[in-house]
Amino acid sequence: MDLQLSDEQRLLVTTVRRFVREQIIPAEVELDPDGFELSDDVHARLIQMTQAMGLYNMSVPSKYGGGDLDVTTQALLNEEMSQHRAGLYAPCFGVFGGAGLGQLYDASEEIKEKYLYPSLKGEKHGFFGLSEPSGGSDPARAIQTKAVRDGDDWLLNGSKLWISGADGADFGLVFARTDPKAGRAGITCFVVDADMPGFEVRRIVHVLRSTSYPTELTFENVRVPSRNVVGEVGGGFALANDRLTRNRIPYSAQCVGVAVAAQRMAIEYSKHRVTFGEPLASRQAIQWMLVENETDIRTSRWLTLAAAQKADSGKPFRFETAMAKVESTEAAGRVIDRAIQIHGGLGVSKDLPLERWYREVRIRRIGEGPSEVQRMIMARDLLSGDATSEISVGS
Amino acid sequence: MALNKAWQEYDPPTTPRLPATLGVYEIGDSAGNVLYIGFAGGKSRYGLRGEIMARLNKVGNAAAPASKFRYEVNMMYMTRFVELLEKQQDAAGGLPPANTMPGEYVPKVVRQRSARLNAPNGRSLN
Repeated sequence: MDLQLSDEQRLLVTTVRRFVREQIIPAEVELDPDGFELSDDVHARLIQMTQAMGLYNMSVPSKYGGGDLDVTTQALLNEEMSQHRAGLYAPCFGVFGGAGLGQLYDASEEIKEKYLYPSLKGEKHGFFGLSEPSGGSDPARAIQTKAVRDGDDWLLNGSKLWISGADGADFGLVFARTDPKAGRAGITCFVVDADMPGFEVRRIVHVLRSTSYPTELTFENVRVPSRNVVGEVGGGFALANDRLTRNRIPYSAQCVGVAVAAQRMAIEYSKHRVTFGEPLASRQAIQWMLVENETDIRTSRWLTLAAAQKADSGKPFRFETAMAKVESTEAAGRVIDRAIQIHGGLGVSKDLPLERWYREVRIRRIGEGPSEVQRMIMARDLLSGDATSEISVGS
Repeated sequence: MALNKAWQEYDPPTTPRLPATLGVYEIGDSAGNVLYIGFAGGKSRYGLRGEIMARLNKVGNAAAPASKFRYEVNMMYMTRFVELLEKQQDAAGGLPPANTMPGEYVPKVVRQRSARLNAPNGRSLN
């Protein structure tokens, strides 16, 4: 694996890093410590800046007007964009745009016109409705929401849980079982409009994070036209799974970014805080914590970029992504924990971002597939011979 | 869920003894109509105590003076704040009057819901 950054990557990383420090962090200081959005005027101003810099919607495919960045560069930039208080779940408050719901790239032109293009312009917001009360880690079996044909329409009945952003969404992608006997091949993806009768955002679920809160949804005889099927009938699981695997790379990079920010604070504080006549940094106990932090950060970054490069190479990258996800989420928790310990009481106060990162990073070991499921995926590939410990010498 | 707490009367000798913790609160008139929904966040100098005291003095008017309050200690005050505003939208068809005053922070998601509720054929979302 070659970790030399290209000139373009170096320029992008530097530009985004400066933007976070000069624009995002000063704007964030004005918010409540649990704040999750900028004021409309500041948000609009920053979007104008990213658009003028040619950095808006960088991860969107070029055929839809985006920058078509490769996965490795996306990972590098996600590490930078997450380095502020709200950065784990609201990196740069979305002012760099986003890729929207990737499944819509596979939809019909009619659906793209109605949902994808407005999403990419920030005019419409969608949610991703996969997990259910019966489980999120094994969606193929856990999906009990049913869709039954009724003339040219489908009737949806069931519920979803842990769905972020549904209360403010205009539409959502909802995965429902269309063939109860077909297992993974019996799931279909539908676009459901928020104002379709029978659709209800039942409640907000309050969790450790201060933004992107999950909701619970119910569907009671929601009539969805056949033209709202995304991809093939029965092809929903493959659509969902591809996005879940791919998303684990920026997800991991964001954890690395927050760990980097926590480590930077820990080093700075340990050099200035004096106890018993000496700075904290002179104590071996503190030095070792800083070194363990750095080891965790570099290991996570290496694994994340290795997964990203594998994805860019076009080879299967599920194993590498699972390893990056486990290591980056667990390591970030350890780094933030040590940074809090170094800061003492200040570390757990809302004066600093550490307490928010500490809460929010805990979710990362569960979200997008828990650590145990990632280990299960890796074990399966090791035992089947699909993954090996031997160094790759190419073919 | 809505804030299912009993209203408390504003009482100058006892109200200042409210907890100085993070949380959410509602200010109401004598009939129990919600006039304002707020939160005591990480920047509140005296938490719920400071926020409620300050709001009781600011919210309401001659027609509907603020006289009651209720609160909930809650560390996840921001998501609870959103939830209470959404519940009020659904129950009353709109936000409490004092939340619509210029300069009041209303999260974007709640404003989007307001726009949808006020649209032709708009309906309650919950």
